[in-house]
Amino acid sequence: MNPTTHNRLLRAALALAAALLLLLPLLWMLPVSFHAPGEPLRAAGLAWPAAPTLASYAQVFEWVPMLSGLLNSLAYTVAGVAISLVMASLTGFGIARLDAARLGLAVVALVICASIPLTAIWVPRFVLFESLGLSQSGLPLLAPALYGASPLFVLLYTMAFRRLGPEPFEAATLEGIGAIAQWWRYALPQVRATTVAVATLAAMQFWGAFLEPLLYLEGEHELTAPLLLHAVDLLGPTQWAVMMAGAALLTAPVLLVFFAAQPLLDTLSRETSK
Amino acid sequence: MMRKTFCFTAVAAAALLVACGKAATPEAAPASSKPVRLQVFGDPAEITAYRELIAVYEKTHPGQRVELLPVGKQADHMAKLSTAFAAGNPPDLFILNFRRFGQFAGRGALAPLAEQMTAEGRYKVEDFYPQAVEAFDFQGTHYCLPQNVSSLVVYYNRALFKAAGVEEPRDDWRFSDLLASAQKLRRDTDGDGKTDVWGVAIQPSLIRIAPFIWGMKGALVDDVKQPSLLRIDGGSAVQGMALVKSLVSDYRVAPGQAETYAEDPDSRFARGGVAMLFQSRRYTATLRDLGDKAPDWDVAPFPLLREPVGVLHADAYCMAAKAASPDAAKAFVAFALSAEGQAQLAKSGRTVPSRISVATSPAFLDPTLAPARAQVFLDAIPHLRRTPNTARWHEVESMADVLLDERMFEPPMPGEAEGTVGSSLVAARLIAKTVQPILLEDLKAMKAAAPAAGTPAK
Repeated sequence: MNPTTHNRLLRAALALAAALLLLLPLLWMLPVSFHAPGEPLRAAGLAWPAAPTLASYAQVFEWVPMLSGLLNSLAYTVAGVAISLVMASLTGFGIARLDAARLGLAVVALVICASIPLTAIWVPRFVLFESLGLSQSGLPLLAPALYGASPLFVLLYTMAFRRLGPEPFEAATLEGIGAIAQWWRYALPQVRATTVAVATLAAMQFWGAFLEPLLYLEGEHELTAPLLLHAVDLLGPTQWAVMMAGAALLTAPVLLVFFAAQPLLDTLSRETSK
Repeated sequence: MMRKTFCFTAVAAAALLVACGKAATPEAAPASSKPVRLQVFGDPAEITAYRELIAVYEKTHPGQRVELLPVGKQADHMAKLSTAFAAGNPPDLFILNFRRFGQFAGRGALAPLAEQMTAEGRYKVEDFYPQAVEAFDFQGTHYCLPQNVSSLVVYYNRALFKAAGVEEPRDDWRFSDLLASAQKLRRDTDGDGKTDVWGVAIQPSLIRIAPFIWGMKGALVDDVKQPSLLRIDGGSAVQGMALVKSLVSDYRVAPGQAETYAEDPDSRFARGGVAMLFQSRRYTATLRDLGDKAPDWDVAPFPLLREPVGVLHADAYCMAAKAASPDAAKAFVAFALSAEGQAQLAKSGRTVPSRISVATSPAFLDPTLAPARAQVFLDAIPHLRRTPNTARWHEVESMADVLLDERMFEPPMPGEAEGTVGSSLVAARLIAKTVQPILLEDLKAMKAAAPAAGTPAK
């Protein structure tokens, strides 16, 4: 075995070990979710149940309106990610085209914004939406998307667009192509990897959001899946199987999207490694 | 009924948002008729019980509507409630535990619901357990109406008692009986030198340890209504704390910190890994939910120490001072606390009704449902004592619980000479010193705000 092959195998082994470590919670969650509701678990709960059953999954839907919760979360995530991508990329494109001094100021502002803890703005933001008469609707949940969901996402796009250099856009401007068209037709297609990264991070943010849905949503059928999972969690440690079934239901769509996106990820991987 | 729907439509090509706000259902009531908004916390069984209560209410009271705002955990409930109050749009009604209601009563955020309903003839205080009623008094004003009253009891596994040849706890059993039983019940079933069945388990928290302190004639605070000092470092109080610690440290009949983290005591009891468990009424519903997977179980009273005591657990219906529909809210509370409403909620099994006539009726003492000795919960009520209900008491408990977890549930290290009483004293002094600033600040704020609390904002 030559040294190159040896190094590759070593890297693969290390990557596999790291992946398995990160997969451990999932590997615990799935077998436990197939235990019967109320079945006592010990450390042996890690093992596959002797009589696997979907009863705990059925119990989740019986105890909480999880179907509407999943649909609400899905709709919230799709809308949130779409708006976030548009706003973050557009803002990032604008910032990337600033001169060096202004760019520096903008980046500093973004970093400061990113460091503000949510707890510091949670009440003022609620008061703001209350004064607008929106506090008892789902609309405030999408408000973060209007500023790109996170200053970090704007920063990512800024860096990506900056790498493209100013020349193509200066040429486009000379040809009379407007800024929006430049962003949509020339800039965005060249930063697909960044778009996928931001979409992934934004999807995680919206899909797993807890605090804002807790504050703004009220009726049972308005609630998102993480809120309903919290209600199931309250059943306590004697209902681990039901809790893990609920957790699996929240994880499954994420895994499905991940596997479905594999061809795209492979393509992007090849593009970026060229 | 007006119903807010939370639906979004993602437009395909540009994947842009379209969100829809509120949609009216065909049976929408006139816009002027706002539903009463009731925010509650609880697990799915409790939420279902509230939902059924509301359904019966709306059926028997045509034109009246109640919108249920369910929240899972109490901490989430408090976060949502605090934010809504900060924004000036709280729900009309909400459930509060007496240990957390002071933070709202202290700043004039609550309406004196109990006093108003008494004046209107909708509430007779003598129909309810006075221990629960008193817990919702704040600086002489009676605010909230108690929905339940519970206490700490001992759940025990009857099968394990039988297998070990141990007599089941009597109604007049003492701590020494509990200890003797725990020692006989502790088992190493597979001979590996590790305990497989523990004798007894208790969660390390101030609310659980309080009855041990009182039972030894010790004090938790200097004044339950205006606490300025934690008194758990007094001689009798330390003895009470030491009794709990001795179960882990000296007699090794209770799981220690590592075992408790490895497996929650509730879960351990449910699978037969511990013979006795100190828990409140809430755990009854957990065991009932387990059906035939639950062990053969029953409940026994809190064991007698120097004097009979118990620790109060109670939640109540509270109304915001700025409730949008105060009259409709009161009408609902009147129904919820009626014999019919209380019996409806008792079905969840999680609570002991606060209305005496319902608690002593088959609605609660149903002989067909476990526990067979449900009367134990009622017999404990005359001896119940409560922790303070001041604005920041929950902070005191949170800090104390962290320290108790660190100090009270670890066996002594090899060579450690201070012993159980000595280490309990060290822990008590540390806790008392740590929470002292909070108590003093709380007292100062309470005295400064006394006039405001007495005359809540309308």
